[in-house]
Amino acid sequence: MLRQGQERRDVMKAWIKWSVCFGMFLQAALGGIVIAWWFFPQASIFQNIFAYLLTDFGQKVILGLGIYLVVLAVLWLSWTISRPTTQGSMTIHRDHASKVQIDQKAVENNVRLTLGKYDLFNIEVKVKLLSNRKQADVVVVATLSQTTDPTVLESQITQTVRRDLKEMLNIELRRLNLKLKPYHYDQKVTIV
Amino acid sequence: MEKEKLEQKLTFDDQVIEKIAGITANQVPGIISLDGNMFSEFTDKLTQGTDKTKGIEAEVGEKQVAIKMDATIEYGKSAETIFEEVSSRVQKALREMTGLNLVKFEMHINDVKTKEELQQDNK
Repeated sequence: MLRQGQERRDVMKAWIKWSVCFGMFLQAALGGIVIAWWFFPQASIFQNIFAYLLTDFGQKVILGLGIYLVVLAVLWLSWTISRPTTQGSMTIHRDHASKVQIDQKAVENNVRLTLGKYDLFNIEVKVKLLSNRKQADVVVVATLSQTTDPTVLESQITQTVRRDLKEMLNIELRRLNLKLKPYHYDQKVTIV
Repeated sequence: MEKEKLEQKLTFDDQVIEKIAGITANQVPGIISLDGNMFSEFTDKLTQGTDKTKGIEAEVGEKQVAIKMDATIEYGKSAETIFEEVSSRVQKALREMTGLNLVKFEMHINDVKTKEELQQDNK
């Protein structure tokens, strides 16, 4: 389930990226044409372009390009405004003028210590704090020390991390990405 | 003959407030250490850890005080509970000892550790 969700998000990200690239390319091409026209106004290519743009189909092309750029700009702006703000620290509790903030490093250490009770080692934790939502995205990379069922382990770890983050730090877990690797006998072990 | 009126004023240095807050906060369960910036950490090493104002910044007025504190908390304890406890104890200590009112208290948690980790760090 988690993997499917991740794949969907990756496809979405690729779709946004390519649309923005295409939009930027169009803008750059239009800008380049205008600059070249300013330097070489008599060039035959520009005469041909203007003649083409004055036709019915040319007018529709201009309109289509304009609509595409406006839609892209609106989508880009909405995505930029609505996406969560990530910061190195986050306010987890407020009481009038008083507040308590927590560093990203502290949250990472908390998750790392939480995972210490599982059959894992070489645990690396990366946390992204979404400060305007009081949520966190967590990425865990670890090596399996036992032949545990990864699906069961994934579900247990997700529940524990979610509960501990909420109870200890008042942070909601938005997403946990768990990357488990099998143990190889010559691998160095770091103990939590 | 009318008795001459004595003009009285009691003021506190920022460091006094920081020291009271530091000693009080260190007694709260769940606070592992109060951490300062690079300069105060260096000073702390030179003074063999006797700097009680480390990691605390106080802004002192005539009647009120605001405090900022950088702390490492113990793994397994609720950050919110520790914050409420430190805030109320520091407020009580300041009121009793100085008569000043704590109006703003900001705690910044920069690490979460177990007691064993702290012992290892101090070796």
